[in-house]
Amino acid sequence: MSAKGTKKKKAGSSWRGIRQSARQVKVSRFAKQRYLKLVCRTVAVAVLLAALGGAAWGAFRLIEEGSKKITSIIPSSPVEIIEVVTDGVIPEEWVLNRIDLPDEIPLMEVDIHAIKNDIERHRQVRRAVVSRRLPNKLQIQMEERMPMMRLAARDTEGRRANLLVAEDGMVYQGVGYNRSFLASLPYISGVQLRREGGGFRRLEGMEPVAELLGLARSEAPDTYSSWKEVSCRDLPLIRIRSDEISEIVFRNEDFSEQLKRLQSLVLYQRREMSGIHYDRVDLSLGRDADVPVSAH
Amino acid sequence: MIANSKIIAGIEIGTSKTAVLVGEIVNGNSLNIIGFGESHSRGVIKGGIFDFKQASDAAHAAIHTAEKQAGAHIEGVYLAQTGAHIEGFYNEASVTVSASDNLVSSQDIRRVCESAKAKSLPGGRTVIHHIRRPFRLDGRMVADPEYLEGGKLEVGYWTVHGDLNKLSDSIHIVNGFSLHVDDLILSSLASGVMVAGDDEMRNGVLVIDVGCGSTDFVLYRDGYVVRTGTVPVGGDHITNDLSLGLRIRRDQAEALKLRCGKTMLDSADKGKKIWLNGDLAIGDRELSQHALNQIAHARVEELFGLVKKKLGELLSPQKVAAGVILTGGSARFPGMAEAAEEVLGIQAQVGENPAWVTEQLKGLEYSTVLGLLNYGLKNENENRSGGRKRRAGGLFRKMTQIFDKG
Repeated sequence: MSAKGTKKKKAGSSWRGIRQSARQVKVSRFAKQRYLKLVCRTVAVAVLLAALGGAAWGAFRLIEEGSKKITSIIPSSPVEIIEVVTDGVIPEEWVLNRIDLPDEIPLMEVDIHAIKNDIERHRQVRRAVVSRRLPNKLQIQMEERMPMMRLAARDTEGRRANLLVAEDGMVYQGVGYNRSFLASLPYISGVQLRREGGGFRRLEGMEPVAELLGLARSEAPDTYSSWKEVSCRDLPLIRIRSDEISEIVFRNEDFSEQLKRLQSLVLYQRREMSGIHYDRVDLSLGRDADVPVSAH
Repeated sequence: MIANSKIIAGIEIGTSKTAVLVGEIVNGNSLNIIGFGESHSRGVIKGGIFDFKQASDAAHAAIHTAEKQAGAHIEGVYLAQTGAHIEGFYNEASVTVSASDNLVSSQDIRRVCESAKAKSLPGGRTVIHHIRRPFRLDGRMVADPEYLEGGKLEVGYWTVHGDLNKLSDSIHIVNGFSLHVDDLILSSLASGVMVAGDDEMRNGVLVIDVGCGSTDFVLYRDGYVVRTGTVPVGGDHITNDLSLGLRIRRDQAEALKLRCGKTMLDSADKGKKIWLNGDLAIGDRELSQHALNQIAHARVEELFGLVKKKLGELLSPQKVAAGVILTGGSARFPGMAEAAEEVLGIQAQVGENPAWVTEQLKGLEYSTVLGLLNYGLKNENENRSGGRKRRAGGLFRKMTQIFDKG
C-alpha cells in the first residue's frame, strides 16, 4: 500500500508495547461463547494428542517389553541334560565321548553346528539334528545307515579292519552292532576300496545289490541266511556264494522272480535229489537256469 | 503442493458502525474475501471509546457474524485507527556517508533512519506508524541509496502517534474476543489505497475519508505519504446541526439529511419546501430546503476548512495535481465534492472502490475495511518473502482449525 516504508519501532515506544494477552476480558455474549468454544476445542485437541501420544508410547513399550521378554527368557544356564535319540544302534556313551562337552557349559554357548558336523563325520550316521531345549537340555537326534554287507580290509599299518557297507555304498566302521547280527551279514568281494579323507570312498553301483539282499532277507530268509559272499566283480551280474551252492548268478532285474526260481530249485534239490549238489545256479538266463550239478 | 493459508480480519470500529471483513490469504499472494459482518456501533464517539462494554458488544457481534459467515477461525486482525487523539509530526535526519569511496552502505542507511525516528514523544503517547519519505543523497531523491555514491544522506519520517490509553482500549476490545491484533492501520491509509491509484499517488492526491464522527485525510506525493491527519468533524455533526437548527429530532434529522440534504447552496432551492417526514401523517410539517442546505453547507465548509488549515502550504493545485478524492460513508452526501472543491481550491471527486470488489462492498463506507485486508495481504507477502516467522501457527493451531471446517 502507499504506506510505503512504514516501519515499526521497537516495543516500548511503539503501540506493539501494549500487552495484548494481559487484557482479555470477555464482556460480550459472543466473546464468552467463542472463548468457551476455543477452550473446548483446545481441550479436545489436547486430549486427542494425548491419546495419540499415549497410544504411540504404549505401542513403543509393548515392542520394547516384548523384545526384553525374548532376551530375558534365555538364561545362560549350563547344560544339564543331553538327550540322544537314534533309529539305530549307536550308544549314548559313544555320542557323549565324541562331542566331549566341557562341564557346566551354558546351553547358549554350545556350538550345535559343530556337534552336528562332528557326528555326521562318522559315516554310520546318515543325518544328525542337534537342538537346544530350554532351559538346560541339549538334544541330539540321529538317523543311521543300515549295513548290508561286511568287508575285511587292512589299514595303512597293515592291521585287519572289519568294515561295513551300507545300502548306499558307504563304507564305515560300525559302532554298537551285536556280534550275531554282524555274523549274519555276507561279505562283499570284487570291489576296490579307495581312501578318502579319514575313511573310504563310497562304493558305486550298490543299489541293485542292496535291493536283492533286502528282498532276500525279507522274502527268503532261509536262503539268505546261507549266503556268505557277494561278488560285485561282474556287475550288473551279482554272484553269490552260499553254504549250499558255490555260485548263484543274478541279473539286475526282477529279483523277486529270480529268488522264487532259486527257492524252487533248492526245494526240488532237497526233496528229489538227495546227495546231489548244485555247483552253480545261473538265474540270469531268464526262465531257464544253468544248473550244473555234482554228486557227493 | 498443499496451499498455505492464513485467515485475517480487517476491523473498523467506527462512530456509527463496526465493519468486519474476513479474508483468506493463500500462499501469501492472493486474497479471498470470505466473510463480512456489520453492526451499529455503541459506546464510540468521534472514533474514541467511551463505553468499553457497549463498544465490545457491538464489535463482537460484527466479528461473530463475519467469522460465522467465513466458517473459519480468524488468526490475526488488522485494526483501523482514527480519532482526534491521533497526531503526527515530520522529522528529518542526515548522516555523512562513512565509506572512503563514498558508496552508501546498509549501515549508513540504518543510522540515518534511526536518527530520523529517534525524536521522543510526550508521556502517554505511542507511535502507530513511522512513514518514511524518499531518501535524498546530496539533494537528489532516490528510492534506495545503497551502493550509490554520495556524501550526505538524508531521510525524513512522518511519525503518526496516538494516545496510549485510547489505542489500548480499541486493541483490548479485539483481545476480548480472543483475537490478536497483528497491526494498527490509520484509517486514512487503509481507505487511501482503495480509492487512489499509483499514478494519482505519484502526481499528488489528497484522499479525504469523511466518516460519521471524524474525518481522516492523507496526502500522497511522488508515490509517498506526505501527511496524514484527522479532524473531529463528520457526517454526524451535520445531523446534529440539522436537529438543532431545524428543531427536529435526531433520527428525523438523519433521515432528512439522507433524503433531501445538499451541501451546496442553490438559488433554485430558495422558497422550496420539503416535508419533514414525507408521510403526511400527524406531526409531519414543511421545512425550507434552503435552510437545510445552509446548515449542511456551513458544517461541510468548516470540515474542509479544517483540513485545509492542517495541510497549510502543502495544499496547492500544483502539488496536488491529481486533485481530491472523497471517500467514507458521508462522502455520498450530495454536493460534497463541489463543497470540497470550493473550499480547498482543488478539483475534487467522489471516489470509487476497485472494480474487483463485490457489489455488497462497493459502498465508500467500506473503503477502510477493504484497505485493511489489502494491507494484511501485503504484510503477509513481505513476511513470507522476508522469511519472518509467523506469530502463531504450528501443528496445534492447525489441528484446532480442523474443528472449524464444515
